[in-house]
Amino acid sequence: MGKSSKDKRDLYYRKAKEEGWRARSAFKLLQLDSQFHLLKGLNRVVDLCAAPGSWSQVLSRSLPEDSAKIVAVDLQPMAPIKGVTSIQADITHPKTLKRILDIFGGEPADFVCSDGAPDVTGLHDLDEYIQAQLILSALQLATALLRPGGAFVAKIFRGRDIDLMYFQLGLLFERVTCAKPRSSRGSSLEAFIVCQGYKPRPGWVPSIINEVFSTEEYFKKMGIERPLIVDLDGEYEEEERVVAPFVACGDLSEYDSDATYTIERSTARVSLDPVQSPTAPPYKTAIELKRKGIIKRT
Amino acid sequence: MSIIDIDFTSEHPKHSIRKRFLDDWISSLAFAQDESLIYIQTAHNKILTLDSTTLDPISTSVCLEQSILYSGAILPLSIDGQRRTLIASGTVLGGVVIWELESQAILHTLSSHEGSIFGVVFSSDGKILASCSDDRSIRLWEVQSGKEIAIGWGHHARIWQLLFVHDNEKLISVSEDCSARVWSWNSESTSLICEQVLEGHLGRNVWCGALGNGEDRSVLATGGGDGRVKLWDIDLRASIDRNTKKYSMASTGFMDPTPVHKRKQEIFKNYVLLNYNHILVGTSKSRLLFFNGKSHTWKVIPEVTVDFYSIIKGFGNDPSCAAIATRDGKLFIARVSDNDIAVECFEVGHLFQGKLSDLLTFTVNTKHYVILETQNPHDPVVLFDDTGKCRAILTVPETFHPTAAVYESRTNILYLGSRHGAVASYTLDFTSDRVEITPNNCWRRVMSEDAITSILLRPSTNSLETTLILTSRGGYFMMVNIQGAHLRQLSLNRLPRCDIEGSSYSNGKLILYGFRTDLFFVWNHTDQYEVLTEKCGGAHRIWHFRMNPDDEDAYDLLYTKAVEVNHVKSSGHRAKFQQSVLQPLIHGREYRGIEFSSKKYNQQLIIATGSEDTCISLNTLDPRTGALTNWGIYEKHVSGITSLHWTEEGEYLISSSGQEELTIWKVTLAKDEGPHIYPLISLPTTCDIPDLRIMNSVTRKLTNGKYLVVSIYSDSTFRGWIFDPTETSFQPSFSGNYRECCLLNCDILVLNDEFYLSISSTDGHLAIWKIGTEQSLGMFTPLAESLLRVQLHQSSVKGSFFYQKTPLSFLHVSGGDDNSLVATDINFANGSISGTRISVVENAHSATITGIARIPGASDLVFVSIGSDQNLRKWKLTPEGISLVDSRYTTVADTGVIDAYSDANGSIVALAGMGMSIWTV
Ligand SMILES: C[S@@+](CC[C@H](N)C(=O)[O-])C[C@H]1O[C@@H](n2cnc3c(N)ncnc32)[C@H](O)[C@@H]1O
Repeated sequence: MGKSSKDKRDLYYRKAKEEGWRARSAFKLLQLDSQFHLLKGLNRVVDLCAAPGSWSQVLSRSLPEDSAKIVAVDLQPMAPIKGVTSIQADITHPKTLKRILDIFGGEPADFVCSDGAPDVTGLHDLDEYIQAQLILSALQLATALLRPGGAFVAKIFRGRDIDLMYFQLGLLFERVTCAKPRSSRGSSLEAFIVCQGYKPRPGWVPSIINEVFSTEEYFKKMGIERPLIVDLDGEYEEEERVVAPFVACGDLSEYDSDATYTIERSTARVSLDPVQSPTAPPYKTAIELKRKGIIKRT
Repeated sequence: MSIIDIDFTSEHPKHSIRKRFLDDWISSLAFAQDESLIYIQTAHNKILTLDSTTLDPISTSVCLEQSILYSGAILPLSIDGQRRTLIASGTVLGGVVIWELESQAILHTLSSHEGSIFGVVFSSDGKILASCSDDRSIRLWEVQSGKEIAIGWGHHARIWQLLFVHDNEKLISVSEDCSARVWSWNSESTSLICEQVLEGHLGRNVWCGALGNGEDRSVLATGGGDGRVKLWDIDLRASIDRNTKKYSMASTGFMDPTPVHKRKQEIFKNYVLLNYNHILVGTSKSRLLFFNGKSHTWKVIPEVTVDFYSIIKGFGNDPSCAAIATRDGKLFIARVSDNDIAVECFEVGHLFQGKLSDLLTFTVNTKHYVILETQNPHDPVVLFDDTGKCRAILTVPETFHPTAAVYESRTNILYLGSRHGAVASYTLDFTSDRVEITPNNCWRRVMSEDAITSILLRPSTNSLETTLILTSRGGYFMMVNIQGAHLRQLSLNRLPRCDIEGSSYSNGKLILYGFRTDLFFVWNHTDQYEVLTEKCGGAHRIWHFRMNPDDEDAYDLLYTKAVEVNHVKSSGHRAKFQQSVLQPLIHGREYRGIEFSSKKYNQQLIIATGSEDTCISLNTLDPRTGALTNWGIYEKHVSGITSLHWTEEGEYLISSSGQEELTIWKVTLAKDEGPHIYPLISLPTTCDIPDLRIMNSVTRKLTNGKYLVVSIYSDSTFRGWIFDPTETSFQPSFSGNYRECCLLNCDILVLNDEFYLSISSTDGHLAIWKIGTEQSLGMFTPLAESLLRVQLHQSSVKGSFFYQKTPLSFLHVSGGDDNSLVATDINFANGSISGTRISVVENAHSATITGIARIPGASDLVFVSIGSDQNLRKWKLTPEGISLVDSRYTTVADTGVIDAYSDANGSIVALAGMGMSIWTV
């Protein structure tokens, strides 16, 4: 997230800077909360894919300072936030669950959120698949961590087959809503699933956490599975799909993230540091080689 | 997964497809060596083994290292009669895992890459594994030891796939940087050597590569994000490099049998390539040299003295002959035979007062002609034939310096282009000598004031019209139609940052060539790809280019670099394949505009498309076969297209884009020439905010022949303009502001001579303004509050249309980001406007609705919608409300635009996003 001139004119970006949030994403959680009142009465929460940490900041500001436990998990290291325990881990890794459980001392969580997204490639099928895998990993953690009645929020891409995902979530929660905060650009497919009222599957025994590792097997044990192979030429049952109700959240009087604002010229020129200092991308060596002229455009 | 059974026993191979649906993403597939089994690797690092006849699952094995895979490879080997299947897993975070299916043992974990592994491939002998990752590097590994052998850097973006070629001696990579590269390696170095960069796609990605499976493993196919499939002969570049020759004065002296000794400071000034690779060269020391391309010897042509400023030119596609003009008034005609050259000299200086400054050539049937001119404004332009006879003396218009010439035999007209962008025509039938002629017509500034660098006659099936293609130094090129004194501009286009020096047709494709920064480029405009780029060091140098008229990949380029002449020669790929583009493209990025014209062309429908790649494209569609023909791709906008609309009668096309761009294009539909557009006028910009986008526009023809044009903006403002086609002008008519959001859709409604403007936007509302009458629109008025504002959707209104129900009421149908379809009754009765939602389908799609379009003509109100769930749905609106009629899945991702067309033969829907698809409904 460098600072292009477009960023500088993005009002959410400026507002985040002014209010001390590490990323403009903070407003997404705030706007989701204004609609669903998710952050009321929480004590133990898990913020998955949390770096640079603006959601953790929101959580830390909304939860009671003395009793709350906030665990933030990300692949990337995260600068410390008061009241937040952060662990650097892969949420798809089987050992991560144990590390979170240890911090809670075996107590269940009230709320699990994930704003995780893979590095988008632009290949739609691939991006949607990887995002779905990330959500399933987050969901697996959520089902193992949440108390009955707890809530789960995760970022989704509203592409093809999202209705399959809604169906699976519907088996685990009372209410599943697809929410789009106004601070999320209308031109992007990004939205959030807000799953409220966790209801463990019948026959769910917490011990399976220790038995199985893969997401697939895990959900299979919970009776949520897809057939291994289906003959599309023969007769087969269509997979069940449902559409979660859609809610746009945030007030109409709030900034429109698609609009161009003519903010005063003088302020637009004031240099703003990037809210999040860019993390080291995997291609940093390539950038370095390019800078040295070793990789050239032909 | 699809199994395609192909029967090659008959002359036309028959095939059938068996489809299976798996519970997971498939990373790779392979047949066992005896083809009795199929191995399927899924993204959870699992191998499913199927019986290849019944397709029944036999077993599943899971790798001990459980991870999500971005890529995979399976290599079934047989060692001592035992099945041994090597698996490579390219993981999301944990590098590459090599394991063996039979023992399930992990052989190696290769972890020196950073980021996700996007591609892994084994060499066919199982000795080497190649991998590529998000770190933009390619690595080679010895499978046996797991040792890293070599690393390759060079791609600027993600690398998607790798392929071994040439008996595992070379590697191909394809990348998001839009190139494919060919790599080699050797035991001396740990670096992969990038031998070739293949750039044949537009937009952002080359996704995949495949290799000819026959005898010749040198044919590569690449597929791009642009939808194009292109073939490459990967040996071609090496053969071009092998054949590239360099000549200089220094090298001439070593040639036997008649050594040409270099004079002091003598360099090659000017040259032309002739038949048999003979080259004729004028030197800075007034000598004319002949290089015999057969015997590879040089000789000085005796008794010919050229001078420093002499001009040497060949004759289009007849390389047997060349013309030389010297400043002091000599014209030489040189003719080559297979082993020699003969030069004739003609004194022509007496016809001119000034010094000869330029020479143009053209050919009529087999006869060659030369045009000579001077810088003296009192001198005529004189035309000679190849026997040195003066055939015509042309009077030129004032300040007209010919820079390009073409002769049309059908009409006996000679067209000349000038240094300041003018075109003149002369009637000349060559029935008598030395005629004095004056121009029939002179059209000034046809394209711009840049010099016209070439004029090309467009081969036409229609014998009654003349179509010319003009090119310019400024990078513009234009198609014009000429009928008598009337020159009609059909299209104007440009190659950004290019200096176009010449043009030709090869195999029916329009080829443009010239300089771009330090490159010489050859661009196939019809198929939109670069045939050649050669680092020549910059423009303003001596060069000579010739292409085979039947094969654009067979060409010769000569250019001077330092004191050397480089001769780049390509003999083409015809020996391996006929055409290099198997599947053409229209756009390199996502489509953001699509609309059918109300006009037809030769029974075909006309579709305009616009894209994030900034281009506009004109196509015709055969409604019976679905075949699409592209008639031109236009590059004018500097940012991605946001909307594209025809005027009601199809006379103009209006395009809009970011950076406040809006252009009105004049449409011409010349018989047999296809549809073409010419940019007439663009809207003035209002501010300097670069991301102020014009989101959409709408036009309405007025009774006085002018048009009302409305442009809506991303900063919540909108503006009305009167476009006058006769004056080619814009006049501001009104402007207004709607709250603080991004405007998305607009329509003009007319009731009893009163004009209304409706706008819907990202806030989910529809608002309507009264904007005046035809008379009052001529005077600028700022608009105040809207008369009506009603909420239709929770957030963005992504698509909408109006349908007039009664003289005083309309139905407005809209699709939103909130997955819903809404029908709203807009009623103008009793002098006020009311808007009432009459029908809502809440989950009309499972994700954002990105576009809707009414199917015209149907008796009911029937319409189609498209969503990011990739469903195309057909609906009907009756007094009972909106109901679903049909639903289909489309493979087009990131859909954004849709339009429908109906006539007596039926209805057709075109939708687009990442690609386009056409449906009959
Ligand atoms: C959009 S950012 C989250 C922003 C954050 N909510 C905030 O407000 O600052 C997405 C994050 O997901 C993380 N991520 C992606 N895949 C992950 C994984 N498998 N495990 C943990 N974190 C992951 C990335 O490292 C990245 O920091």
